[in-house]
Amino acid sequence: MNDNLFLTLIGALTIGALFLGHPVALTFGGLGIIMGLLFIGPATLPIAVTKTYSIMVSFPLMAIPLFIFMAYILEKSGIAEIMFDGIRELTAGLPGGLAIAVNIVCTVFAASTGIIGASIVSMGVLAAPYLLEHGYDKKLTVGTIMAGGTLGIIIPPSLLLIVMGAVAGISVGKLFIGAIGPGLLLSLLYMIYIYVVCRINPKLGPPVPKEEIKPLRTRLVKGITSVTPPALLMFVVLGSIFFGIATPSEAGAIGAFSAVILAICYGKFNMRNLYYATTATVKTSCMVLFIIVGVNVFSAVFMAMGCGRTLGTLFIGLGNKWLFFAMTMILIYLMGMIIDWTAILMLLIPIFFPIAQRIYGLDPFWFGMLVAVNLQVSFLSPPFGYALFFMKSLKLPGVTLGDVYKSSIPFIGLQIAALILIALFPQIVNFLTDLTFGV
Amino acid sequence: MEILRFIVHKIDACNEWIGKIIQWAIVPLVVVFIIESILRKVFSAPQIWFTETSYFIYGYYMLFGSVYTFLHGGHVGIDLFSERLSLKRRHALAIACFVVFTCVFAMGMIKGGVPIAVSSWKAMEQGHSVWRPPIAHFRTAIPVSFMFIFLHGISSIIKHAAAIKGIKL
Repeated sequence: MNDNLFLTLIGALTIGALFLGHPVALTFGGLGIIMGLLFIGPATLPIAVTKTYSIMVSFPLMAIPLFIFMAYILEKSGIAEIMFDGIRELTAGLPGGLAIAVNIVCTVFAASTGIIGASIVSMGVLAAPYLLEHGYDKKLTVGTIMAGGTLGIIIPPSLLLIVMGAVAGISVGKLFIGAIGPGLLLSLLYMIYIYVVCRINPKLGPPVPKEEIKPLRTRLVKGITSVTPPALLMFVVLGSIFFGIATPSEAGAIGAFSAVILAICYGKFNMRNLYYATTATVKTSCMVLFIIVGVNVFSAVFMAMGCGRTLGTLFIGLGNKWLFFAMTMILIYLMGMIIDWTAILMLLIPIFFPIAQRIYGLDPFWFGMLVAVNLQVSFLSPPFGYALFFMKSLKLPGVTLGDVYKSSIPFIGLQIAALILIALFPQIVNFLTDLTFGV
Repeated sequence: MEILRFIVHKIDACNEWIGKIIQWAIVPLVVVFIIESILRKVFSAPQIWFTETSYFIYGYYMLFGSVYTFLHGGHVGIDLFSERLSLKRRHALAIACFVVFTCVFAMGMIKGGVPIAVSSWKAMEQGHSVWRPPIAHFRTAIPVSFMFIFLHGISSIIKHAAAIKGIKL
């Protein structure tokens, strides 16, 4: 009991410290050093330094700045705009067609950014005014953009999967390939939902009137030409992993290089855009990487103090596979609403993944995918979710905070449905990984 | 007062300057990867220098980029509750956090990192690969980068203290 009390105390202290508002990376780092000096002694310092060094020589983590660089180069090349223009004409005639177009762009674009904030902000600026102008319901509009933005968490090359693979010591490439199924499933569920509600109640998302629609031929050409370049880029990145030509880090470099070529083709490559991209890349990558540094120090101390073992024992004691599954999901969901996902993965994966695998015999790739979908749900959950935070910051005209909160609810329902589907049918994850890496 | 203003300006300018240089490191990182991929896949000639060169670029990028990110407030925090405090209390809380978290973390890393770096220089430590590059400089990067983090902490504490007194530095 003493151990559990101690663990609760440390947990409460950590959460309390995080709420003081200091950067997460440094709060964890500072707490780690203080706790280590108090409970372990001067040996903490060399451990902290060695732990940091191990991050400087982590090959999988190198993929993070590379993919972020690719994303910012693509953002500046105006690809999202061109894609949205192309696809919206193709789907304009359908009920909810414009919202479906947003969802498709988010799916492809999520694949090329993996940064939720970037997707939500760019689609919010680009598509939201257009949808509202065409009489789309504001809740449907906002919900579609937020849900589309959170796809970046799971659709490869997702940063979350890179960190997960690096921390759990499992193949990032296999996680990427495994995430394709769940990612497309989510995207498909969103599209079906949008289509069905707009079919039932056309006021939510009226089809664009016939006279505004251009002939099919022009639409087809425009649609296809706008989607092909980014889709090709994704094919190069994921294909190189799928066919075993490149590791995810190499694929990141190939992706960044291809993005530069694409930007040159669009005539958007110049020193100003390159400067913007490198500045934005260093800030976004180091935000993620420095949290990894800080939490790594904290978690080393946490483990050395035996807290990891105590927490592990609690979860081993549950005894039942599905009970364990439910408890971990609830814990991660609750933490996901307040703490940055990087910190959650760094803290919990080293404890939960071995238990899931050894004690309960769960497949780490399947389990990891459920963790990713679960974190998506928490990003969309009022009142703290990240997606809501980005949406709020856009301050769209006529959209209140209440609208933003309410709009997320149906999409949360869809995400939970996907979570259950993936939990019951592991084939959604395994199908492609088995095909690529063998059984 | 003048001396404090001078310190803050010098520290910030220095960290800004670090960022302006290190942000470009992403370009050689991509180039190194592309060269290695081409040599290995097309010419079947994997390079012995590749792995460690990429580690070096990425490691420096990560550490010194974090200094720059810190300067620009890019490290996220949870300000749900602190933003409800009065302005004065918020600055006081920020000072306390910089002292307890940032300065302690940075001091710990410097104190732990210096002996490791010194012994690495003394032993002329080399990397594990066939290339065997010297890596003492890489071990030194940890205490050096955290020294800049520490300096940023000092600069921020001075700024927040001045803000409490109603002075803009």
